[in-house]
Amino acid sequence: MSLKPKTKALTMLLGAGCLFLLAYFLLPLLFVLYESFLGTDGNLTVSRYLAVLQDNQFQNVYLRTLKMAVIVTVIAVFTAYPTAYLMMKIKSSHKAILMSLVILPLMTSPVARTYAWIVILGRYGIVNQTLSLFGLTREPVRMLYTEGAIVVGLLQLFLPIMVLNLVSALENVPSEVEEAALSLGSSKIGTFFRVIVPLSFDGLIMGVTLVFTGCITAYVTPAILGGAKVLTLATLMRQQALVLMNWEAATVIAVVMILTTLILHTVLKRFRPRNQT
Amino acid sequence: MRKRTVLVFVLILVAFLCLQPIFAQGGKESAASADMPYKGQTLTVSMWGYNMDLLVKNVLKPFEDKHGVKIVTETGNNSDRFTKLAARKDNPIVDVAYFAGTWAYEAMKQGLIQPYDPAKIPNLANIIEPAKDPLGGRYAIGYTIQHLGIFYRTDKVAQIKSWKDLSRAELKGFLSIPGITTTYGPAIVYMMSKAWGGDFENTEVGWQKIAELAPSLVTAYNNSSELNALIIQEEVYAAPYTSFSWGNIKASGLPVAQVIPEEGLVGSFSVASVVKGTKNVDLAHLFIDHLLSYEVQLAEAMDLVDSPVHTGVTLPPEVAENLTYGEELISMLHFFDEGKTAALQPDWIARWNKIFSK
Repeated sequence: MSLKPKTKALTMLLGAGCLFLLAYFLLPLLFVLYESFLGTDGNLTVSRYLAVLQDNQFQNVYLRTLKMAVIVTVIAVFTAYPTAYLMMKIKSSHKAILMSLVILPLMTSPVARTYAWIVILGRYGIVNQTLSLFGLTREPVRMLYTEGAIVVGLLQLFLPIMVLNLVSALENVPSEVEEAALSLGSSKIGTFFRVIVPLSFDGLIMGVTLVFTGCITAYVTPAILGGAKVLTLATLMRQQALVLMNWEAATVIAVVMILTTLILHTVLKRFRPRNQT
Repeated sequence: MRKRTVLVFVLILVAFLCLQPIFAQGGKESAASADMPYKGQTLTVSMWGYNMDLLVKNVLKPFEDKHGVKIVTETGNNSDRFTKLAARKDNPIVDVAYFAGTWAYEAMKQGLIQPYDPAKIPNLANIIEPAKDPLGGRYAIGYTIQHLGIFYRTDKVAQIKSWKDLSRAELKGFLSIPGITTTYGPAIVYMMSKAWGGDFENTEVGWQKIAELAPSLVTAYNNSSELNALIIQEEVYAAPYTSFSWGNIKASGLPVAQVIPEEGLVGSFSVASVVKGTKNVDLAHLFIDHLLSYEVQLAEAMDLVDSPVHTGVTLPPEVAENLTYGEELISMLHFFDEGKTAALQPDWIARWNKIFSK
């Protein structure tokens, strides 16, 4: 090996990090994967998967979790893009204020934040009081312990992540590109969709993956805002592992979670515009 | 030079990770004497972490002072502590474990706890009969008793007299019940069955009634603090609640009352067991005996931490009303077979999930 000393040191440093990830992340993950295929007799089998995947309850919960993750991700994309775009356009001092507003929810504990939603969405919460004040409803509307409540909670949790990803992606789009498109006769909307979005697509993919993954694996928010009536994959997994001690089923659910996000990420990468390096 | 620095760094990291379990074990020192035969020894107790300051004052510190031992606690909820106990089955570091009945039953089934020796626990003679051996086989002793009561808002709904009243139309949208995965989840199934003409063996009618209730429930709560939040937010006007949360419910300042329905209530014990394979068998027994002693039982009751199982403890009325105490109440309690309940649990959870995910 004739590496330069600097390169050598770098390799060694990276090696320590990789070693750590290998020991505490990759190996346990592989162990989970292996366990999920292990039958009671010690042979490899897919029977655990069949048992879980054929279960009606699991199918319902899986579809519901996917549905809520898709809804949250789509709303996050459509609300985060204008925000991020606006933040690129305004003065940097204003941008700093907006940025701290975006980051603020990330700094509160998820438990405190989610309990706040109980107060806001409750029977006598702010939302219901406002609705009845304007005479829009006669009786308080049930909002807690519904899928809607979870969507709102998750959105608050993950919108900042989407915004942050898009901001850093848009920062890499040179402003000349936009000016060039405009001077060549493209409309503002056309420029946004045909120039800005494709050039910030990597950030979008990252944001979508993180938000979607977060929604699928989130535990506190669905547990508190959904309760028993709205089970999600994460709450179902907890139930299987920690209440029923059915680690087999919990392992399968964990693998399904990981696979779902991996597939999403791979599929999204395929949509990446070809002309981008 | 750099290479060496990096190597040293990696070595330190690896060495630290390898040594961690040794640090965790802690050292033992011994200086036993005739009047304090266990002096210098360490006893590890796996317990819930609630009211830790009071538990230290009433239970742990007096034991440490009396016997010159050190108590190390491992705290957490049932499932966390159970999982840890199971993971260290062959080399346990815990000597005494507290559990709720169903979890103790599971621990018994998996060989994590061992039968106690009644000769080493003289205070057994002083506790109420059902607490002496709730699992059978002398695997656990109930050191405190709780029950699932029913409370209601006296300003919002008419008095509740029976479990049947939970199905009243005026409670639609204002009722919550404990989730099936909580300690008292199965109790709801049993009591609804009993109230509506079934019994503890035949729970079909109870399930039917729960299915009818489900759509109009605020939620099925997963812990007392969740129920408490719902009561304070005035989301819930009536609910079956665990007796130890009565103090918090009253503290909401709302007009609430507790009732003993005509079908009775469900009682359960928190139990203490000697962990299988412990090296401190005698000390573990000594600790459980201490837990059942008059002094500890009285102190815990007076601080409203745990209701006494000791028959000699008499409490002033203002303390008693907050606890599972008194002949009238105790005589109305049903205790369920933890083994049967544990065996039914997987099916019941699946059934419950099906009802609630509709």
